[in-house]
Amino acid sequence: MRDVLVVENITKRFGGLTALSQVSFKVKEGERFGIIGPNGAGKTTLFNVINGVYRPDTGKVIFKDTDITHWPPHRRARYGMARTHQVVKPFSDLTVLENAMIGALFGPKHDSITEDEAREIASNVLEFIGLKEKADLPANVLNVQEKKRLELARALSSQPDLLLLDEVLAGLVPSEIDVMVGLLRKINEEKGITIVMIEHVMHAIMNLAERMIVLDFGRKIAEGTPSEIANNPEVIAAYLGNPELALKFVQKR
Amino acid sequence: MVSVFRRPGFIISTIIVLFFLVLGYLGNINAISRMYVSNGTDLMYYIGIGLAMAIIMSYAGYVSFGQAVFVGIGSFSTGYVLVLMNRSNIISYLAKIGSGGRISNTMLAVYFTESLLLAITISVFIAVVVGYAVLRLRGAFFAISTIGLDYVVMYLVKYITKTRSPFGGEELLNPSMGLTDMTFYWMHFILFIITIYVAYFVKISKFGYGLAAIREDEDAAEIMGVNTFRYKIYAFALSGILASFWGIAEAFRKSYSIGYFKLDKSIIMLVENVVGGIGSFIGPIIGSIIYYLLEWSFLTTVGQWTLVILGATVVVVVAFFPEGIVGLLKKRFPRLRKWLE
Amino acid sequence: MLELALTGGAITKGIIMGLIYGSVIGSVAIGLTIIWGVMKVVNLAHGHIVVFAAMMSAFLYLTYKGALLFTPPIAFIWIGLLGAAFGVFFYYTTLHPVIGHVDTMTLKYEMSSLMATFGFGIALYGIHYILPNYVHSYSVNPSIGYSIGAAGHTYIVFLGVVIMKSTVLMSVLGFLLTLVAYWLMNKTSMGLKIRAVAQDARALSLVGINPVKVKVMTAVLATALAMASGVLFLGYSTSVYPDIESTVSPLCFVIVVLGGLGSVLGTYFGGLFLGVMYWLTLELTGQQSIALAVAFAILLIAMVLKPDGVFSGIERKLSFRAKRG
Ligand SMILES: Nc1ncnc2c1ncn2[C@@H]1O[C@H](COP(=O)(O)OP(=O)(O)O)[C@@H](O)[C@H]1O
Ligand SMILES: [Mg+2]
Repeated sequence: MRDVLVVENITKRFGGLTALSQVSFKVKEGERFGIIGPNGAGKTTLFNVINGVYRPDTGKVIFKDTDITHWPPHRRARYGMARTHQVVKPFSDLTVLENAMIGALFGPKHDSITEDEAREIASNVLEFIGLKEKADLPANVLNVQEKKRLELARALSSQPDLLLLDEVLAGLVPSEIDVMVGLLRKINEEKGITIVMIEHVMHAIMNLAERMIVLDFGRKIAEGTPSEIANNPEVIAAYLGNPELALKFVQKR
Repeated sequence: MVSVFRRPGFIISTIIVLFFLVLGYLGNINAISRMYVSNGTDLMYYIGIGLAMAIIMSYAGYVSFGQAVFVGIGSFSTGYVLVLMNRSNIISYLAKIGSGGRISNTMLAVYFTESLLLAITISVFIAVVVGYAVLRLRGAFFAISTIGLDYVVMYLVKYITKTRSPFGGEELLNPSMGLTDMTFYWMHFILFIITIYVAYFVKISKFGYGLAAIREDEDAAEIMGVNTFRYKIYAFALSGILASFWGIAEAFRKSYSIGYFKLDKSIIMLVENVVGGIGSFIGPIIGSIIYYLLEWSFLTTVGQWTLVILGATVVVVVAFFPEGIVGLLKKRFPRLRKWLE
Repeated sequence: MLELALTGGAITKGIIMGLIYGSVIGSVAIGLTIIWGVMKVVNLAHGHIVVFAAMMSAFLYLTYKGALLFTPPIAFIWIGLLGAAFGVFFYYTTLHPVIGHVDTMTLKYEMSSLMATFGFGIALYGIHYILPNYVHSYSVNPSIGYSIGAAGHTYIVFLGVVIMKSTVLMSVLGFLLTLVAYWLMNKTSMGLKIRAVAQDARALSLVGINPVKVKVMTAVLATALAMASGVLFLGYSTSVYPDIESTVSPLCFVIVVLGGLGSVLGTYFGGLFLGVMYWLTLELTGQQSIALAVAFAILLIAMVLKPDGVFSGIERKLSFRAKRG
């Protein structure tokens, strides 16, 4: 299977701080790929480099065999990349349906899609995500958990090839997590969308991801299947700064 | 989905257009009806500039203090076509008109079209070149930078008129072309139809969705595939073109004046949008009507006090209804939402 | 076509007149920079407040000709104090309802405050037209305003440039006003609190300081400075009328952007720079409209290239040196 996303030697500095240092990895088409690491490790920054919010200082981003390192974000979206934000960014005054429609209108099919088709796609996605009954409400009346799902709905409406998910499970109660994990699996398996996800909820990502990398202080310290990662001494050491997470690791083993 | 022609915004626009059409036909009956014609002309102008501003401010969320620059450019274009070009045929008309004649409709149409083309060209040029630089700024910074734009152009135009005006001053006077208030009314009406439907179709188009996304969260819009920079420039230019139309309309009616560039023109456009409510198509229309009615009724009732009362009204409105009338209506009567596009 | 008069005399005159003008207009802009920098409010009433004070002082000066109380250097002080009281009124009618309890300014609040100050501004402007014996007794048309003939009519000649004495006095007063503003903002506990609000209003309330009080202080200080600076027109201009606002306000924006939001000295230097650019262009081209076009072109360029202010570093450098010295 071909590599849908190739990240090569990415370095990103903010003034004196090196947020990412020589990070490389490859994601295969149709894969569920995880990114974990302590807070401040550079995970969100990595997403920002992948989807064009930041330009890397060195390195390349290759998406669907095209070097997109110097593309602006909107061009990447149109080429089939969609993302959700750790801190939700809904279009507050627009309705839930309109939020999702914007995803459809400006996604990969942007130059052929009609408003009616966009509405159709958006409603289907809302149905799939379970926001159907809120479709006509303005986005700002949703609660946090619904706003997270709206992020996902917007991203899905664009019918992307690659979905970047930044902590979509954070802040959800366990029952909601299970629903969401099921949803993500369905997105991947039924729609064939490649998923790269940043996640702190260990049991979920260990379950869901087929392969993953671990970031620590901007460096990639490990790569492999969840069970390989869970047995990697360097990863455990990195997480020892956070005893709670380390404990979860040990339990997982 | 419902056809465009049955959507609330389209129906409301059409009702307003029909209202002005009827007013125009009834206009020429007697002195009182002619007064209403003059009010109607003013009202079209106020709604027109409000909607022109709406495209950049209400739709895209970029507040421009300098949008009057485009009204000024329109006004100047007409002044240029009618006066500064020193055309012999206009001058010869002057002689004929002196004996009670009237410029032919064909020539009027030619001058009108020339003004439009000139104004569109200058507006697009300025909006694209300057917009390319200043549309990287956000919020108050963008707003202030447009003041710079407005005043640079204003003083350059002032210089041009001063050095080229046959009257020797900074102002220009139209040749008397024997036109009546009704002619001006219908000229306004043509531009009004263009403005209101362009504003509406922009709002409901894909472009309109993109602008709404920019207004609500520009970074998210960009990440979702909206070419934010290009859309902002388009919006700035389109807003400018529509604003310049109203400078043209008024300049045919009252002659070119440097006053069209002044900040208070932008501010009126801004107030109309804020009073009506940001984010909708209906809002700026309601805001413009209310602004016009307030100003007009104050002028006729309280005379000198107009500015004081108008200013105080703005302060009160902002303090108590920060979301404007449409925002207030949406909150109070959620079932009206659908009609408040 | 435009002809350039590139002579040494024109350049000397441009620089000298520019510095005098810059000192006046720079001090006029300080009230604007303080409110903008601290509260993130673009005060559209600023120019109207300045001109209101200018009109009031011109009226008093011409009515009670010769009375010491109404000569610029004295009026400057008490009209400034009056401005402090007016600032309370301005704050509670206009700013407080909109941003009184807002900790972080979003675009929405920015726009609301813009509208509110705009409303206050035109109301204040309208007052010139309703006070019966205020303007009308001195001229037929209220928009013409007062012809002051600049107090004294005495001239000095400096480096071959003829300068009206009163304008020099006004530029000195402008400089003094700037020093007072700098001292209040940087060397007093009030200034410290004001600058803290600019950083983080919420943190301030955590250490027991009421942010609203600090905002009132900011508005009071800014309005007092604005009104005091308005008196300078009395000695600087040959006539004062309500519509000078339409030039004063935009120029203040240019200066504040050059100077950096909230920076008193930066703003003053911005004023000097703008004054010199304006007068140089005026002397070289002989065209006031070209000179003003240049002034606003500077605004555009500065905003695009250096939105943090061109002269904002000056204050930092000076206070650093003061600390070491
Ligand atoms: N725009 C920025 N400017 C400066 N520093 C930043 C910026 N964005 C992120 N950082 C820093 O980069 C580091 C990595 O942040 P982030 O990618 O958000 O971490 P994570 O998502 O793994 O928790 C942090 O130290 C953060 O403070
Ligand atoms: Mg993160």
